[in-house]
Amino acid sequence: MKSIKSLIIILGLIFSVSSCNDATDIIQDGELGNGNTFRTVNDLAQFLNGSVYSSLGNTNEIMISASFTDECGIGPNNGGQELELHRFNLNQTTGYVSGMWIGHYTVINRVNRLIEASALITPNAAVDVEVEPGVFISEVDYYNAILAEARAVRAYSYFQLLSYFSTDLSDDSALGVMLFDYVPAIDEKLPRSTNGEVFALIESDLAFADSNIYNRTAASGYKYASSNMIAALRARMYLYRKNYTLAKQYAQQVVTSSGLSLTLATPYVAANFYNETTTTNPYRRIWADLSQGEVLFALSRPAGGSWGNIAANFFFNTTSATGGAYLDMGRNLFNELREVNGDIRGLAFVDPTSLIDASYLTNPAYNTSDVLVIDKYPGKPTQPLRSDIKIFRLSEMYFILAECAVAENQLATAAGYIKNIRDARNRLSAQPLPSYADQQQAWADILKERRKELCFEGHRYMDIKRLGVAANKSIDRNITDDLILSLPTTIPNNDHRFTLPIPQDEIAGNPTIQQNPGYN
Amino acid sequence: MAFTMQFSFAQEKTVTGVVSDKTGPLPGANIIVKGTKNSTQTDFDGKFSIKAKQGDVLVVSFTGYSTQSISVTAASNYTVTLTEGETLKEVVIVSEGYNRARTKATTTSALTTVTAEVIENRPNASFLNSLQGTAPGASILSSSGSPGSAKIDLLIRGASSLNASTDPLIVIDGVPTNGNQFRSLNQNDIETVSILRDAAATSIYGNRGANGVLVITTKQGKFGSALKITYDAVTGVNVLPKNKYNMSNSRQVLTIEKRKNTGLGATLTDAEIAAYDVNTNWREEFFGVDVTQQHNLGLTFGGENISTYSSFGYFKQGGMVPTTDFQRFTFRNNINGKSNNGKFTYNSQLSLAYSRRNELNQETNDGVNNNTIQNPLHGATMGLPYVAANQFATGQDLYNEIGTDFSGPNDTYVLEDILKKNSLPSWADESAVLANISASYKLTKDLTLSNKFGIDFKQNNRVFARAPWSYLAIAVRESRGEEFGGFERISQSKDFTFTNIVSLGYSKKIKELHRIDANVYMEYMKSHFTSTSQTQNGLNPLTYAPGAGTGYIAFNSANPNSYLPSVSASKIDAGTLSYFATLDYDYNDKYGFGAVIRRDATYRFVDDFKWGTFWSVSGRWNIDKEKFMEGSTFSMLKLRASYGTQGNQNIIAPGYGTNPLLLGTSIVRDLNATGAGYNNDPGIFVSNIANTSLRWEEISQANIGLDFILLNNRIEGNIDIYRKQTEKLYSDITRSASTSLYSQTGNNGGLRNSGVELQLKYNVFKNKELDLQLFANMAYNKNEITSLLETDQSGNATVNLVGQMANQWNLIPYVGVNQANGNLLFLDADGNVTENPDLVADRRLTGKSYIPVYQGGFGFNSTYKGFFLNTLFSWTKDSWRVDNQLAWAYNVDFIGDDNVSSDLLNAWTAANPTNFPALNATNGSTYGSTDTDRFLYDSSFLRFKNLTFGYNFPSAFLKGTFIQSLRLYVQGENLYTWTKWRGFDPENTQLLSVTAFPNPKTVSFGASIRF
Repeated sequence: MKSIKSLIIILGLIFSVSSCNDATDIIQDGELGNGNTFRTVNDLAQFLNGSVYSSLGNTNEIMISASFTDECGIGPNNGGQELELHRFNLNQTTGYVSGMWIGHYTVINRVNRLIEASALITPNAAVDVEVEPGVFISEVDYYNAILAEARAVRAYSYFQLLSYFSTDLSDDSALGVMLFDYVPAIDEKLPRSTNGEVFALIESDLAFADSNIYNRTAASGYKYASSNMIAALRARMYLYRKNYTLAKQYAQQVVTSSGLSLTLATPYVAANFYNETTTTNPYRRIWADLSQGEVLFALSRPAGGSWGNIAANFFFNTTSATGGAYLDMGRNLFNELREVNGDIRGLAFVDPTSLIDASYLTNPAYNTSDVLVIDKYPGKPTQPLRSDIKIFRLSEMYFILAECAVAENQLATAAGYIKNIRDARNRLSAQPLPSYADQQQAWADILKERRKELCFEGHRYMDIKRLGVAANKSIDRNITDDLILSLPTTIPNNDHRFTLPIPQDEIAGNPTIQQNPGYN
Repeated sequence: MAFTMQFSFAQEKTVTGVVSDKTGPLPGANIIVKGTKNSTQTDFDGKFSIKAKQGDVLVVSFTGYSTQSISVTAASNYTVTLTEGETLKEVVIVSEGYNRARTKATTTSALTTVTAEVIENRPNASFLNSLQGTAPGASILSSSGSPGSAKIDLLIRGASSLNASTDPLIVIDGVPTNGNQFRSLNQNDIETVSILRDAAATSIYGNRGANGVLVITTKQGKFGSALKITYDAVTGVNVLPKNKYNMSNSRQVLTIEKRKNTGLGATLTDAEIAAYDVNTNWREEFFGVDVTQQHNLGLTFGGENISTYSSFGYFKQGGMVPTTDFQRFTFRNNINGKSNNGKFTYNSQLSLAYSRRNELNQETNDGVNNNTIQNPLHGATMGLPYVAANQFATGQDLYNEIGTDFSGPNDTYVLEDILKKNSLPSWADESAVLANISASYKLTKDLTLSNKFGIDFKQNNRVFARAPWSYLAIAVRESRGEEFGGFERISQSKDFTFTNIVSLGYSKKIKELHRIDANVYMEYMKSHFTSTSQTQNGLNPLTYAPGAGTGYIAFNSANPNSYLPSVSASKIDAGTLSYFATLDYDYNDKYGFGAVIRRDATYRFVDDFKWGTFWSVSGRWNIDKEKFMEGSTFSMLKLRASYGTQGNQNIIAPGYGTNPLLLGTSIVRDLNATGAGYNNDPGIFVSNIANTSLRWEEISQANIGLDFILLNNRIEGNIDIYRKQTEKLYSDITRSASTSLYSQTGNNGGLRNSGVELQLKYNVFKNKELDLQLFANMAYNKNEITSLLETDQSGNATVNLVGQMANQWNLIPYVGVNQANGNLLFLDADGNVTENPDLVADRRLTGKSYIPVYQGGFGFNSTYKGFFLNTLFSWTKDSWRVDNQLAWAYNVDFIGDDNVSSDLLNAWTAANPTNFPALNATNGSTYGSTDTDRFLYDSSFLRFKNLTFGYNFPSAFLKGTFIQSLRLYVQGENLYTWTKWRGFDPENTQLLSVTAFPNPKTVSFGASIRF
């Protein structure tokens, strides 16, 4: 009995010392649950900043155009990078396809979270908020402006998805992408909605955004959604949908009321042209991220912090011939950039360290003798591979106006818009007015000018998809764009690969989603 | 009373004697007066002296000999000759952990015990390397031969999970540890390692035993034994193994370049190539023969109520790459004590270790595995032989020459600069304390209360830097336009785990027939981890010294993106709580029954999923004890069966050497975090989307086994058949992108491992002159996915499909060369030959995976007149990996830029139509190494793992010296490997080859002295 008693005492002692739920009920220090995240309008602003804008990018689109179409050649330091896609192996496992899909759906998911969280907060109309130094607006306006920016961004992401994953943007009944305006359950499996259904949400987002947006006045204002961005997006969207009336209306609106004009190629000072901090050339300053120029909307990629390095998609180290270029500029694009004397783009997009071999077609060592170094993203001081990503520029609005004119068979009007661009981009002289014999010529010339102006900005793939047939053009590579001279340099402009496949990663989690034609 | 006492003392006398065997006196034999604690040992001459009464019985014993009993008569001097016994008959105690220790005959579990002799003095920093090939069903594969590496994969009975940790639990002296990093454990301190495989053995470890358990006991002193001192010294050399890629020499690669019309070769004439005389062997530039050595001093001693084992060890292994090595100091003190009446016993183990490892960045940074600039294994194979080594004295010289152009031989020059001493200082120091103390008190004759309390503490200090004079620092400095380059990161982590186990045991023997053992336990474990890290960017070469904090360039707000130091910290708490009980019943050593039930809670899960219940039942039938077996050849024949369940909560497989309990701490909660948002303004992020239904992974296992000893104890063996079913498998749950995740950690699917294990020992000769024992073990494990929510994976290189093995290669068949044009030919899904297969549609299942299906070991131990020769071979079969290093050596796009295999000299041309693709094949590099099966190689191997040859000096020789025994030996580790694998080392559990730093070949010389 005595031993039983002592046993109970000892056991009791030991258990009281060590038997606690503190081993199993553990919340890690510093955890922030959903319940206490959203308390003020400012928390919504921080969520917009940290979760919505930070998720937004279009590097995948840029690389689909650069690698799959005709903007890139294989660089001297290539160790196998991009070869599959460059050799037209585009399928549901292609990394950029998968990355683009989830990238934009992450943006949409975050915007939906922001909208749901906004229901938890009631802004006070009587309180003014200092949104920028010295600028006060009511908390209600601030609250609505946050939602306006978020919805503009959501509209952009939905539009990017539709553009790349729908077979025909001009057909509202064609299959679009997964559509939701709520925070999906973790096991949500959505079918694809029609283009018309998705466009309805985009249009309502843009309408709300347009009437509630606050246009930031700081120098970095163009790196946020704005009236300009909303109008530019509408112009592009209606163009892609072949609604030329509205496309023209919004493009014109940007041209007349954005307060911006086409950035000029002059003054040109050869001595400082390539200097990333002192260049005085207005066009080059856009790419060195020194001036806004004609940029309507860009994604900020500041030198500090761990942001993506856009030029790391072409180079290992620096944007120079010896910087580990594993992709360089496609020879045909280079030739076009240099075909007009004084075309600033032939300088601004090509790094001065480039090795230019006139006998590239006959020199068997063309891969190392003819190195056309891409300099559209020349980097920032201390971050040689990092540049802001330009999403909308005024030039594109001129192209949209030109396309609308061609669609209305106003070929001379179209030629005028193309001349506007060419004049602005020439540092030596005004350019002749093009003359188009028929619509096909006009489409082809617009396609070519878009290629020169918008290269490496993620347009080329969509441009060939949209205009290839009408312009009777397709991917236009030089044979020296690959290491092997005998490989095909193009694919038909109606090939199924001009619509991206629903990525395998999506199908794995959403098995009944419908695949696009041509992909098995 | 006083008279009686005196009388009884008067009866006690001093008995003396000599114990010998056939060859002479036997020092160290034990003599005990039966029924007392009165004992002694023989001296060097075999003599003993002990107090005993007439009528007492002296029990004389010595390991390896039959024990003799002598009745004390009137005589006071006795000569005892011991005859060599059957060692197998010894009562071998096998530890099953906690309070369970059994004899071979009474265990109901499938387990293998490996003893000190197998592990001691091997030239391996981790004892796990030394276990390879010694136990059936335990697959031990080292993925890095870098000294002190934690990259060892240990699988018991196959991988029972896809995503979760598959590491077995390792228990040291009764305290479960976290993680499989044992660089701080001195293998010479290990007495036994038991490898527990079936549920009967592992269910007691409930929450962490699902992947098998290794129970390690360290050496202990014995009560009442004289001071024994042992000293072991081993020294040897390490050599990098060779590959079979047939890399080209200068003239060969220049010829290939000329044929491809690229690189230097394209500019030379045949005559110039034939006369070309620079031929650098980069393998010899980057790797050298290195030295390994170890010293171990051990002291054991036992008094009446206390015994101790103390050891001091030093281990050093060179890393073959000149900037790498590993050094370790260890100290251990194990104490056992008891009260006079034996009711109270306690023991404590204390181990302290300090080690320094100079390591390559590649060892802990997977990102540079494929980097020809930072991984010396690439330099050794891919460095162009036609350029000279050591052309650049400094990083600045190199930068001036090449800028940041890494084409041609430049990448190799950069690697040369990186491997200069103090170019990229990288070392990790570990201070480790492993200590426990346990005490038990016999409350009654049958009831024992015990408490064990253990701590496991590891502190890691790491310095990683890019010195300002190194090429990389200069290249980055120049590209960023800064004045000072380089960075230094100093980081520290502390991992502290506290375990307390309280138990109450009941043990009762009834009528010498029935024996009941019952135990209840409570186990509490808590881990606390903290880490800090600081990085300085910008170092002044004038004053910088690695780790000294000198030469740091101050931040200047005029230049806000330069010289910005960064700091970070983290803190994780984790814990588990368990209650469990065991019951064992034995009837007359003939029938046995065991049961375990266990309730476990983990900090990881919530609500209903927090607690898991696991159990097992097991039984045995010692057939040899039956009447009908009388007179049979079997001295043991035992049938075992068990069934049980276990749980796994380590959802995420840990990185090598890290604690799995600290991962996945918050998967069940929706979380946000704050930090730098867009444009570096403050932002709130979504940091986790919860999976609230996360729960225990459950493994059930059935096992039937047979243990046997027969033919006059000449043959001993075990056979086990098992089936291990994992349910609620930790495997990513695929999600739709609408959730912003493609996959989420969770429970998805089921997996089955079934197999057979066999172990045999055969004593061919067993006498004083010649002793020869053969041994072999093998295991077969079949792995099959039984369910999984995973659909189309047709574009993936490895797939997990229901009804198929896990991680199965899914590749396009390569069938050879198109004799019309030299292009590669493949099969499409319909079996048609094609040059352009579809990367998604034309992949097919191969029935091959990297996890070996068969594995085992064999060898022999022999002695002849003091000489001894031991061998150990280990092998695996049916293991397939992609040799991407070979794919690079064959890559025609690399010609001119890197060295390639001389096999390319035999490439197809119209004039020389071979079956090696043409140098200008149009699809030569379209398909990557994991797209087709061209580079899928059988990495099965048979490895001559260990050879030990030595001599034990006879005691007659040592007579009169202070040395009790002396043994000298030479030893070879990884001496030779037979394999179809062409790379450096087939032993690896990685899918691809470039990730592996090969295991070295080591030849060493050793001496063991006992005083």
